[in-house]
Amino acid sequence: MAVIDMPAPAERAARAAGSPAGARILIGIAVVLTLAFIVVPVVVIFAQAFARGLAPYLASVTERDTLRAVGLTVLVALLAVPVNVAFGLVAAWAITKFEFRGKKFLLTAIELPFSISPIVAGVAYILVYGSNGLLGPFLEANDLRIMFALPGIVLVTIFVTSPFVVRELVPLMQVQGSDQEEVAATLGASGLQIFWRVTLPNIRWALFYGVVLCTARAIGEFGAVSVVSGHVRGETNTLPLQVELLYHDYNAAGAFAAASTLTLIALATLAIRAVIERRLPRTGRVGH
Amino acid sequence: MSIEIQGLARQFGDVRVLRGIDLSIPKGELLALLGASGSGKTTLLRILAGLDWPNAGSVRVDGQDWLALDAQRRRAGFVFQYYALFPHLTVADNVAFGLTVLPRRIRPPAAEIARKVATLLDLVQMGDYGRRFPAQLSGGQRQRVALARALAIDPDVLLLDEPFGALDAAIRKDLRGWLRGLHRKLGTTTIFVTHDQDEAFEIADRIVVFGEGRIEQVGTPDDIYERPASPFVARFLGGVNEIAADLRQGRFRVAGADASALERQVGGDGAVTLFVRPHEIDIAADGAGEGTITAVVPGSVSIRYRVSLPRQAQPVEVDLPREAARGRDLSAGTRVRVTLLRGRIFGQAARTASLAEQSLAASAL
Ligand SMILES: Nc1ncnc2c1ncn2[C@@H]1O[C@H](COP(=O)(O)OP(=O)(O)OP(=O)(O)O)[C@@H](O)[C@H]1O
Ligand SMILES: [Mg+2]
Repeated sequence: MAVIDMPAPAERAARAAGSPAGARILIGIAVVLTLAFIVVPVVVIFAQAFARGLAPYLASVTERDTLRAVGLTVLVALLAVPVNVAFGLVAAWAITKFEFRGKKFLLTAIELPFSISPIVAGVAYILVYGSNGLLGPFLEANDLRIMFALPGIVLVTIFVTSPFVVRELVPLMQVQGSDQEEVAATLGASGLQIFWRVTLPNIRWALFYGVVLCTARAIGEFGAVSVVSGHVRGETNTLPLQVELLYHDYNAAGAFAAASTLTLIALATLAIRAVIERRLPRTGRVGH
Repeated sequence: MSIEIQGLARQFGDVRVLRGIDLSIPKGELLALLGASGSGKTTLLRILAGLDWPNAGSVRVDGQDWLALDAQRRRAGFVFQYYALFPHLTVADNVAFGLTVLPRRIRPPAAEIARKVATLLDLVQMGDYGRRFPAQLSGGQRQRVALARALAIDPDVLLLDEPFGALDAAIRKDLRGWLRGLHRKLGTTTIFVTHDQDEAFEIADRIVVFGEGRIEQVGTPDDIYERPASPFVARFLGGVNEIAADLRQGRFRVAGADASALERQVGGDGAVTLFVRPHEIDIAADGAGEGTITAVVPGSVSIRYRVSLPRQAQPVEVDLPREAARGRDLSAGTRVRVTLLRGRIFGQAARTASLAEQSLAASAL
């Protein structure tokens, strides 16, 4: 987020300072910092990935374990994102359409995964689901394997990415209020009809936006997944873990190749974001 | 449909917003709810629409208990102050909404829905706008679409919450006559909320004056204006003078003014407050008069004079029609003879109540 917003505060500060020279200096600093901290490293990834030409790059990317990592990552995202969409819709609906005690607490709790270090989240899951954890004996008795397997990876990914959808929906739905839903009810629409025909169309861009951010994070999550995955090559390694693994194997080309795929996903997210942002209502009303 | 409301009470936390509303509305009536901001008008309307529930009381419509029905099954057309049109649907689809959500077995075929929508749009004079989106309409046009959408379900009762509240004065005037005509054509029992008294007077069969969660008076516009039931109502309609007077043997005396034209009272000697509207006072230039004009405020129909009288804390406001004012040679500083033509007092009980209410109203604002 800060990436894109960075020049804006500088400009605003310059306007407050009121001098064109001051503005130029501040803008200059912002641009240099952006280049140094963000653009250059990204460019380097691609430069390194293609350092020995296209053929080695393709070979690295299509290497068996890397392909498996890509497959696992996609699978995890496909499982985690829908769960968070459902969770986000329910939570946003509850928060914005009803008055209840503990609402503030719920709002804060939902944001928790953002303020907690992902690695702590991973450790917490181990303490609950691991063999020495809270539910460990029960899981073992029933021959259920959660840690160091797909379920564990999906669970921590859901945890880490859970705020994205709610965060996009709540402010929008707060602005929109309940008038339209209430009118729909007086016109005879059932609860489901109201959701599909009134609420969803009004929040669709914000929802989509939340899904994009959620997906990007689900694909890129490293810390929490690293704790619970067990790092089994070709089995429980997601793409970010694979990058790390290749790197530690002194397979720089492979690492950069895998990293470049992740970066491409991130850039695609950015592009989609830019498109959606233009469609997102600033006044709380969706344009056509 | 006739509506019978009894003992309706609603509170939010400790705030008692409705404090026992009793109201009966005959079939086909056009009723205005008139009251200050925050007096509970919207709350009452929402309860009637099934969007909120009271803590006590009953609502019966043609004998049926409406509080047992949810909003979907009441067939009450509700129009919000800010229209609440569906922004992602065209005007025609907005109007069709109530028909397209009907269960399949009773839903009319698409062609019939389209026909009905076209008829309704013609009715609200929006026939050419069916394909537009709400964002492409003016405020008055949106208002009419919202009304057409509410009418599409053939409502038994029409509830309009400040239907013209968001529009500018000129359009409001236009729409008043139009709404009156529409009601005459359809005959649907209609309740509309407003805090514009001219609007209420012009459109409604009867007016309910609301004060702080209670009904102060129900009556025809004439009743309300000529025979206010309480100081609250008299004040609410605006611009009433409260003149300190003495009541002796049924006659009013006001220092410096001729009050002999006022109706005789039975008993109740002592100091009283006379409620007199600005047009119920006459003034004429007279060097021996005890009033002095302190200010002249010209209006379009009448001219308002502020006249100071001995022993009155506030100057008295007097309206003279422009025709009457012509040639009387009245300007600031002129000494005048003041004659009270009409006025009314309220009982001691009413007076104290009004003071309490006034402070309540003040604290609510
Ligand atoms: N959901 C709610 N929770 C708490 N208080 C409420 C709620 N709805 C209304 N109130 C309070 O009830 C009082 C009456 O509100 P209401 O909307 O009925 O007033 P109104 O007569 O329609 O006013 P206006 O003319 O400004 O629309 C207000 O003081 C308001 O703050
Ligand atoms: Mg209101």
